[in-house]
Amino acid sequence: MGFIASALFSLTIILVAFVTFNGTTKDFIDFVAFSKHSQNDMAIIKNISEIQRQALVFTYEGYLSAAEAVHNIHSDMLEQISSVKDRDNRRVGVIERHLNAYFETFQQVEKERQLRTELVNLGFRNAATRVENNIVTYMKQLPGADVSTKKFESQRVLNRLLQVEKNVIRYFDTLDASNISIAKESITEVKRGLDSFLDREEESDSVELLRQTKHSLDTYESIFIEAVQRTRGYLFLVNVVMAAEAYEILYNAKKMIEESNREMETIEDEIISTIYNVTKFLLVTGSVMIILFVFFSYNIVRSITEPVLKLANTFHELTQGSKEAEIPLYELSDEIGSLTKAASVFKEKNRETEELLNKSLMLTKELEKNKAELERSNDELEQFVYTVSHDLKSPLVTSMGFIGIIRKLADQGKMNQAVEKLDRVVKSNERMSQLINDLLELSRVGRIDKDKKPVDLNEMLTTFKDNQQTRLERVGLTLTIKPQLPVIYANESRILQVFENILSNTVKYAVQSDSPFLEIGSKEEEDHYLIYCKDNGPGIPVQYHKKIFGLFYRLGSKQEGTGIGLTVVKKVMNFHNGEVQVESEEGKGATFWLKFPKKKE
Amino acid sequence: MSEKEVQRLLLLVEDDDDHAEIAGYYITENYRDINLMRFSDGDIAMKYLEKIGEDEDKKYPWLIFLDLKVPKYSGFEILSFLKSHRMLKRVPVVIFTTSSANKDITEAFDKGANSYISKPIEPEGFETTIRQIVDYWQTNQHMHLISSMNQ
Amino acid sequence: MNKTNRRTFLRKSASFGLGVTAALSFPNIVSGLNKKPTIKVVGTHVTLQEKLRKKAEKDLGIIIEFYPGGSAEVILKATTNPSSFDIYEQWSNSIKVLWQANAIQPIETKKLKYWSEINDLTKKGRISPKANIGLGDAPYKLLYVQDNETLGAGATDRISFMPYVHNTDSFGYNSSIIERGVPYETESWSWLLDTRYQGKVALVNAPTIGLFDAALAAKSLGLIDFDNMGNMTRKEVDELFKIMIDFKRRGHFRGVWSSVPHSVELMETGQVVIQSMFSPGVSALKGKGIPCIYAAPKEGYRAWHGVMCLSAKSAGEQREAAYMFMNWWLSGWPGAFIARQGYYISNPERSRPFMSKAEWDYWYEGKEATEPLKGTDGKVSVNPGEIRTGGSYSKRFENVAIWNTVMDTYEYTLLKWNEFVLT
Repeated sequence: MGFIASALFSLTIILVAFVTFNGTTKDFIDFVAFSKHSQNDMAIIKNISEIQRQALVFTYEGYLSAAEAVHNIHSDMLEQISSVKDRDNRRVGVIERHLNAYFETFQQVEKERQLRTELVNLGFRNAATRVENNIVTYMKQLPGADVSTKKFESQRVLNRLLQVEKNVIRYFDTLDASNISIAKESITEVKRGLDSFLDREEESDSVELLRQTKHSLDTYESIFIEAVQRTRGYLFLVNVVMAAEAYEILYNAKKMIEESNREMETIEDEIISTIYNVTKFLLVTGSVMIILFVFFSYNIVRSITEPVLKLANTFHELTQGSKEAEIPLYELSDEIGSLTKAASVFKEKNRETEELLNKSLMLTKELEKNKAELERSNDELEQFVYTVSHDLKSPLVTSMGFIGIIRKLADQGKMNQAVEKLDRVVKSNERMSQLINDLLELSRVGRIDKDKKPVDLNEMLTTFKDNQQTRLERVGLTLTIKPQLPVIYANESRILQVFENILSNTVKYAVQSDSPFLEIGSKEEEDHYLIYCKDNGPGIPVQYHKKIFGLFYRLGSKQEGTGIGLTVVKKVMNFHNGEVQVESEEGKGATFWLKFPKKKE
Repeated sequence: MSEKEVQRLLLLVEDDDDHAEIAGYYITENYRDINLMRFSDGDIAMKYLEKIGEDEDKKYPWLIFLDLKVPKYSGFEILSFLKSHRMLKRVPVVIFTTSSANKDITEAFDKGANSYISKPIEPEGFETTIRQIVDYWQTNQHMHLISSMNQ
Repeated sequence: MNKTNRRTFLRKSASFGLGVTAALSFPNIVSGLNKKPTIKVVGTHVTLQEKLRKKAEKDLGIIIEFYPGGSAEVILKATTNPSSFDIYEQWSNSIKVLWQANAIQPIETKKLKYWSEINDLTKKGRISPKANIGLGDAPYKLLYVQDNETLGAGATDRISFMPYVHNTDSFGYNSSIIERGVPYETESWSWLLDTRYQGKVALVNAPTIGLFDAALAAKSLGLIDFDNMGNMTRKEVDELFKIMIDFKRRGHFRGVWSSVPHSVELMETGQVVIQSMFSPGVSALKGKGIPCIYAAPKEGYRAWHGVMCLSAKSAGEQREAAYMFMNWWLSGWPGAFIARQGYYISNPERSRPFMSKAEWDYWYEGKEATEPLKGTDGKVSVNPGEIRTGGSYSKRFENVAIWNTVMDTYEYTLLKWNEFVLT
């Protein structure tokens, strides 16, 4: 079944590839088409520039070849437009419209120019000549008497006429309109001149001649004006109207190119993304196919070799010493069956071995624990030795030091002073002795007097209080024993020592308070009893809470005692498997908590 | 500047009154121009040291004798304070203690002590030791430095 | 106007003393009713509107033929074939040409019924004493036919044209894109050359009009100065075109427009945001919902004056009919009609009764419109609350910078114009 699925898959891939390539091919074709269109559009632009150029040449120079060129380019452009008409682009229609308007205008221009050329070349010339001739004729047949003045005047008129001609020509050359007004003025003057002649003339022939001249002059003038108007007319058409049409064509053609380019870019992007996507798709599906193949073949093989492998695996585990290895189920009693049975035996043996191993591990652990304890004791011992030597050394230094001073004073003859110092030596030695005693006492804790029995704290402490009366009165300390103290399993004398030492400390510092008191009470918890000793002394700052239990540690060097009291307390508590903790803040009294485990030992 | 101020200031941080008395005796016996100041616990000592330079009357000492086992602040704490102080670290510190444990010696020099002397237990030992220490530091050139610091 | 009025009108015309010729010809007209006189009117689409023709025919009882055409076409026709028309309607910048071409004959002021009502703008050049006379061919300089047959400002009883429609032009801008300016203060011709609007500017395709728009813009930006903008020298023309072609090359101008519908299309499709404009174009755009504002530039307006001329070849019955037509134009109704597309008439008071108060206030007084006003196409072109840019009639004409003009360098400008358009 898996194979069928794979086959279908391959088919799908082939189909997809086929369709994509088809699409891409089409896109390519479109792309090529668009670039062809661009080419066409560029050709249109080129033609527009050329056609206008030729039109201008024709307009200003009058070359017929230029006019012909315009016609040719126009037909070319019509062809180009029809070839791109299939693109169904509205701009093409716009261009066509403008081109038609352009060409129509041009035809008008041609006509006008033609007319003007005729006017200038033929009409104007003729009219000018006629007028000139007339005047000359008139001049010629001027009679004698005032010939000179008349001749002079006529000459002047003639000159004027020639000037007109000059101005007119100048206008058509330079197209400077000031020439027109000058020309017109001159013509008016000529007219006036002729009129003055007419007034004076009597001879009918001359009058007739003059009248004719005037008439020719009018024609002359009107031709000139018509030519000017026509010139202005077609100049306007070419430079303004046609230019505008040409520009619109240019503009639209350019826009078409832009659009084509954009289309081409879009197609390009499309093609690229399509190819990319298809490639991705092919890769993915290909990989999936491979996975499927692998999966299927694997399954087939597995169904055959599975039992064998399982068994082999089991034996492998068993050899590793596993006692949890799974024995695969196998009902048949063939070779594999007996192998399975052997596997079970193997497993049992493994289990036994492990049990033995565990036992030996436990023993080893115990050994190690003992070793650790031993080491700890050694450390403690080291600590102890260090502290002792240090603290014992101090009084020794003092003694020897003062002895030295005594000797020196003696040498100097200061006998009295020397004897005074002897006291100090004695005191120092006494102290040394005390220290040694305390140490001995400490070492006895836990070694000597180790029996424990149930001790009723109420009884013990009441007796204790009585015994301490003198001491209490001396410092004005109030000792309160709370009722219902528990019965603890402990060594009585040691416990007594604990309370003694605590009381000592309290008494030592009690002088600093107004109405000093010490309260002893208890609290019961699930696994142990908590006995507290609370006073309202100066309190102990937090940083010293651990230090005070240290050997020979004293808070103030001026205090009595060796600093061993609390150390003993701690040792006793440890001996009873309990703890001692202090709760105190400077200025707020101190509470010592003694923790006794409930008898379960 | 009076004669008295030219005196060298020696600080002695020692909690044991006896030891302090003995040391003081030998110092004043042998050296006229040493001004000895004794602090009996770390707290008082720190209070003075912190105020040097701020208070007019608290001058920089020329030498410090420091016991390790003093109450309130331990000798090591004071040593660390001194040796990390911008100005005070220039003052030589002599650890003068009963302990001769290796652990203590190592820690002292780790913290920058200038020397470590165990208190002697022979009768003549105290004077000799004191004299050796003071003479040695007199040979040292640091007097001018301390004077300039005190101006 | 019904028949009774017409009769009264004719009689009244007679009593104003039209002269012997008139009295003689009237009976001819009245008696020859079965053969109506025909007049041919040549001009542009601006004034040759069908609605006007129909009303005139109805009111006057004569046949009127309109021959509208493009500006160039019309003037060519008129100058080369004066017998093809009786009345010529165009702009004052063609008067010189027509006169030079001997295509028109002087009009006698005594035959114009409303001559005395015509205001001083055309007769003296100023609408009010404090107005400035613009550069170029200000109409009053061309109005009177002098004794030496030239045109000038000296008053005579013969005029070259009958003054009727006129207006001040400027440029239009799309106020939804360009921030609205303050009339006479911030609005300026220089906006046409503002590079922010690159590629969205157009000029009217006429060297006698569009060129001045560009010249005013360039001068306002300080890019060029003229001795007399109304008659530029060749050198000044070269300089101006250099600037314009430079801008065009950089793509500043979308192009040029040749007709009002074209100008409307350009702004409507968003191809331009600012351009030369004629007043009817602005109305049309507003009617299409585009907020086009006709600016009131601080440098002053470009003004134009319409001219109605009498053909040199018109005579006899036709000529009398032509005078009738001319007088009809100033009789009131036509003035009100063209006011709705923003044009003024030379005797506004006579047209006032034909306009609603709201219309008069908006179009002539420059006051806020109190109700929607319709244009000549029947569409609403003015919404309530709008104010005519530039203010009242007199205020606008007090701020004329230049008149449309045909300069001596006209032909030269044509050539340069071609270069400009095709860059």
